[in-house]
Amino acid sequence: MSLLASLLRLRADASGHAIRTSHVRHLHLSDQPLMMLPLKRTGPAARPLAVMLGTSPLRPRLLIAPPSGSTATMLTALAKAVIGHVASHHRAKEYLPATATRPERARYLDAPQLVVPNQQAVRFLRTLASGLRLRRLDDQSPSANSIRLLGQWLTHFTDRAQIPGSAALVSLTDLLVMHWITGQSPQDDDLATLLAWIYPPFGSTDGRDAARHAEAPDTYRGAGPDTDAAFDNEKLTPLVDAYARDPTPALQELEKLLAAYLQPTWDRLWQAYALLQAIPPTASAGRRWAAERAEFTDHTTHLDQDGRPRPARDQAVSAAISLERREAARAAFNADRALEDPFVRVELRTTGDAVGGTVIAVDDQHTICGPGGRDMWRPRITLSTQDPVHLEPGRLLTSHLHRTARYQVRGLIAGPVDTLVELEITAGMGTVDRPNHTVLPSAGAFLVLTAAPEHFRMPAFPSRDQTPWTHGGPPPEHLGDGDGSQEEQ
Amino acid sequence: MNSLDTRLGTLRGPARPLPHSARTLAALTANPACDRRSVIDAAGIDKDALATHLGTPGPVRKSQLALRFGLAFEDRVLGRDHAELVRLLRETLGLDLADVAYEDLNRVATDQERSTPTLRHIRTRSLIISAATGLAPPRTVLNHPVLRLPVAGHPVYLEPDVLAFHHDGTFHVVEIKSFPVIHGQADPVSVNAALTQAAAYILALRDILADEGLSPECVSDDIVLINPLNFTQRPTATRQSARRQVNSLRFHLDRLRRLPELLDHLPTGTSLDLAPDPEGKPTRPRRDLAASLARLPAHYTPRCRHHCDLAVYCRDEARSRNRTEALGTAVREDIAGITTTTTALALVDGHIHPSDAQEDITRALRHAQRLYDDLQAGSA
Ligand code: SF4
Repeated sequence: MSLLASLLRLRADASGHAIRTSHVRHLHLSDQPLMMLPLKRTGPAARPLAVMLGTSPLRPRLLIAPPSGSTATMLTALAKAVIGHVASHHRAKEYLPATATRPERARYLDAPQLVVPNQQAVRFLRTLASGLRLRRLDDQSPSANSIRLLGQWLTHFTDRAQIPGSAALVSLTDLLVMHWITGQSPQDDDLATLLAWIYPPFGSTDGRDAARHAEAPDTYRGAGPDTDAAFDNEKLTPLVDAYARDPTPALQELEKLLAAYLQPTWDRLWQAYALLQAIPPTASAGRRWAAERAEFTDHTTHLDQDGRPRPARDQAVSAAISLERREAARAAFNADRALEDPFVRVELRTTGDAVGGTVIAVDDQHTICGPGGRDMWRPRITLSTQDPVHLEPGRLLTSHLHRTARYQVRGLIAGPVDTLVELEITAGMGTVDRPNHTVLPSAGAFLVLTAAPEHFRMPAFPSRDQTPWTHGGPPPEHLGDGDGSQEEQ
Repeated sequence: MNSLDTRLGTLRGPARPLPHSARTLAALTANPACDRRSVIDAAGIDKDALATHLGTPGPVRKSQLALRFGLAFEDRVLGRDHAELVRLLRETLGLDLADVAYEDLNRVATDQERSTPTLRHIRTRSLIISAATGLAPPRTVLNHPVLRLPVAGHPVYLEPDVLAFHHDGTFHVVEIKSFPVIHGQADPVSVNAALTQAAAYILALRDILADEGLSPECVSDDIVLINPLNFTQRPTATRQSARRQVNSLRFHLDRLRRLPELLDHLPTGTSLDLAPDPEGKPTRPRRDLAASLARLPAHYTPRCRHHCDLAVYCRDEARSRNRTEALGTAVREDIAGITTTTTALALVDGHIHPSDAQEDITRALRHAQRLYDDLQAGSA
């Protein structure tokens, strides 16, 4: 959160209307994602109650689990749907020539994308996946195999969801708040109230009014995966009891109940998707999606060739590696966002992590003594800014207008109103004879500089062959964990 | 009855006081800055009834399905002659343990009705003292102990769903919770909530020992937490330190000594009495009630909804007064010192002059506004 975000929240509060922030989308959205709306049974760790899913807003499929007994039938159907969606992307491949660091590779032309309402759904799928992929390894029936394969694919999607900038599994609520700020607290921002703020339905005076209505106890519908206690007590508990007496009619009732319960949220998911789909994606969103296609290709190869599930818990080494990958991806994603999104740049300027100012002095003759005693051309400029800069000397900055340019902070002089920032240009300025004037501007020009990522070309998504997570298989103590697990609950 | 009780009684009216519980005590540490809540809980006022009458009922908290699941799990732990429990205690505490003596305090009553908390507390107390002084069998599990903790000068009875396990001069609190431990990891929020509740029991146990001149140190800061393992209902146990939660609860209980002072500030006639008619329907005019409530300073945060029945009411109240706390902690901290949206925006827009203390934040806000305006105009 930034001071600017707080200010806009105050504005939204005062006006009753959501405020648009970013106008570019940083995540790829597929034309045909697999929308998934899971519900979890209250109590057990990861027993699904229902999943509504489909690739189009009309006629979603609803899979429901019986209130007690085996969930295998439901999970098999879910496996069929998810694996079917995945398999529909196992078609054409492109071939990438070898580079200095990598051999020639093939990559699927598109990858599957899962879209869910919120982080809680992502977490639920992750827990579900970790139970399914190791489930009853001794059972080799086709249905057990497909449930385990479902676990492995859900593991892939939920693992990817931990990588900042990945669009393999998208939480719509999180994506919406990258583009709009509401006049309520972030904790109150859930799918229903967010959409009410952003897109007040006909008849409401403003976003606040619409959100208020969406929240009224008798109309409110959480986006799951937890059901609320009132719904549990009034609707589900009686059906659970009825099921114990006479399963067939109770199951039909349950299906009707859940279909009606989920429908409004289902419609909202597609409404949110349509709103977000209309926002133009950034260039790096496309690049990251290409990397995602490579991840998908690698995971497919892994399942075909080795197929051992990821162990229940990462070993220390692979845990450290995934943490590092995540941090690298976060840095790269943040850098891309700053370079591609004027709103993000402005936000960074209010937090002091970027600077915008007027060039008031240029020393285009400045040189330093390079290695071997040769003079090296390092022009210097001075910016005058009112931004609250927090950039310590030595920090490298870059410009969205010229991304290979590097400006090194030499010093800050704080005045009563303005701060002077002395910068030395270390890359991108051309040569003394033919300077690049975008990078080396003349006095009077206005520059916005953001932090340069430490290694700009740092691979955000190192190839899987460099990571050891494909090895191990389930450690012996966990072999039996999945045994009868879902049945017991 | 002391005068504090009388004053709290006046605030509550003739309704029966609701006792504090480990849950309300835990809420105390969740939002310690809220005087409204401290006073209402101390007076034993039913917050849910209050909120409902004011037209802002809180969400239903207890799911039948969750309760059933919890009970089934508890049965599994305690059933079959506590075989699982003994195994878990042996493994977690590293004891060479074949069997334990077992006392269920719920079975103290001889008459049809369950005996009163006071009686059961006396019984708990004597069992604990005899364990501590070596009179009882060396390994004893007490189920459903009734503990007592002085809160703001009042004895509060806690009837925890926990066990106190005594072995060789040491007590451990044992909690059975139905959230899972999956591949060695449990949800940290749930664990913290369990530890915060356990902290109340630890303090209450220590209180009993201290009263007898015995060393409170006998009650360990470590608790044994029993949860379902992975995706099954098989129990697993972990040893967890509640030291941080014990310290924090003790600190906040000490702060409750300020209660008389808080009550001093209330105008006479302040009352949260719902004035129920013979059928129990509240007849108190809402406006009147809201006015009394408004005299108790609240400290709303969006997290209130997780632990307080008045959350919807307090949020609406904050919103209707344009107070920034309804907008979340980030806003509140970012513009610390400015309490309403109206003032904040008037400062930004130059309609009012900042005080000395507001100068820095006003400058920063105006700068942010300027950058945003430039962005809108396409010139940033
Ligand atoms: S909801 Fe209200 S009374 Fe309850 S803790 Fe929050 S501010 Fe205090």
